[in-house]
Amino acid sequence: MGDFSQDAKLVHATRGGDRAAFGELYRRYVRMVHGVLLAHVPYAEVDDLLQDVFLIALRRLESLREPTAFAGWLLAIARNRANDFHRRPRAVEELRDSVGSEYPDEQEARAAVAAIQSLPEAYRETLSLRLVEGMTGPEIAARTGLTPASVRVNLHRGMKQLREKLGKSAKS
Amino acid sequence: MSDEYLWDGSGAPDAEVERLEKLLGRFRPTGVPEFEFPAAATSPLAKRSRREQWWRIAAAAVLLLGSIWLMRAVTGRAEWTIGGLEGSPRIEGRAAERNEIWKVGQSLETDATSRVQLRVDGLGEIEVGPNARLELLQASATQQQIRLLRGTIRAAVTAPPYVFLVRTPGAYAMDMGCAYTLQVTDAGVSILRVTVGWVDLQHGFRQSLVPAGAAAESRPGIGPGAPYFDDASERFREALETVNFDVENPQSQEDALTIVLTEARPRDAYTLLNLFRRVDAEDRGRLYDRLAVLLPPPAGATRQNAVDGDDMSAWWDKLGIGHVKKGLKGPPRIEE
Repeated sequence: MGDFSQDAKLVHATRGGDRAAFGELYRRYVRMVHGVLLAHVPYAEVDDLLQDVFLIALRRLESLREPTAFAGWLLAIARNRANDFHRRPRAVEELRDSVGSEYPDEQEARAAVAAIQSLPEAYRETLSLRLVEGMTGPEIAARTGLTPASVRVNLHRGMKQLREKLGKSAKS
Repeated sequence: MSDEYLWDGSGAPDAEVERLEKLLGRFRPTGVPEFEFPAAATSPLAKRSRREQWWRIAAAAVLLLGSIWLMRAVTGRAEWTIGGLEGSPRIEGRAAERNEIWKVGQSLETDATSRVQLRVDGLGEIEVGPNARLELLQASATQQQIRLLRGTIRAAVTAPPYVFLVRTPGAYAMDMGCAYTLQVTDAGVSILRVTVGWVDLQHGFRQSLVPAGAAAESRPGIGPGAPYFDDASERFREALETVNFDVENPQSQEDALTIVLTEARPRDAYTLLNLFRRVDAEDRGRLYDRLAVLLPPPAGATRQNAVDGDDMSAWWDKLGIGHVKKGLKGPPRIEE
């Protein structure tokens, strides 16, 4: 399990007006939130939503009943914001992703993200954290509160499905 | 393929994983990220005229009061009242009394000879059995949340879907207009039995919708397992437990899935449908083969679609157990 007692100290310090403490919480969890958001929404939307998630967390920190539960609470905010994004009516269906066109394999990268986003929820978030954010399985377990065994299974099965999907799209 | 490399980057690199890491690493935030704190002094509101500010505050207040009134009209008051009791239940360690209000942040405990009946206008009734411990986390018009740490509650809920939420060590149980029993053991395992309507169980990345007549277990750190009907065979239920929770032993899960498939009756097709999201492509093929024997496949359904992990919702119509309420598409919102 993660070092959630350290989170609790940082939450208490933030409540006492310590900005640096919230900055530390941000650094601890920015990759996790980024990865979870990218598992659900277009890349071009992630940065705005990321800032939004932490702003909401900062604003509502007083309402967090158990400071040791900060990570799970932050995950819930991130998923709610991702859900809000999909509920929001959009005049233009999708904004174009701003991944630099300097990458010759840009299309391939987008296709891989799309394939991850099409996986069952349990797999897409775990794989996004592993492959995009570069977190290891033990780190994912520590940050999300899932058991290492669950994360390992999600990675194994998710990767298997991802290989199948990428293999199929390469053929077509 | 090296699972160790996928797990923690150790062992012989898996070429495909390594390729994807390089390909997708570009989406990662660069540098040492810093949080942009909101600058209150330069917020748009601070620049507006004082009159405009007052108008906005007044309008917001009217809107807020209207919303509260509307929500209360729909869901009633948000107070938890001790409607009845047996034995000597305790609130925050002192004896609870009939008609007492159980407040947010307070604990409620029963011993081996105690029971409590809780009433919330507009929500319904919750009966707390012996040897239980609960906490009231939230009591607003839009969401009522309790935490069940151990023991059994029986809920009969009349509120709109997703207003009542019970947190257990293994999952959130979200009411969708229903009656159910929820038990948490000393080991933190929760067992849900639905008698009327539907309950939505969620934890982390897992979700199970449990209909009337069915049950589902949840475990800490893993979440809810696939639901099963109470009248399924004992062998089916035991094997399903392994498939659901023995996540460290893929081989025993595989063997258990064989038993689940052999024992499944047409009514157990619901359980099989819930397993599609939890198994790999090969096992999805096995699930499809059995499902197609138990139920006539819906128009357009193919084995390949099932193996590919495509949407299986067309099969639900074949089950004859109804649907969750309309208008509840997509994951529900849990208030933070």
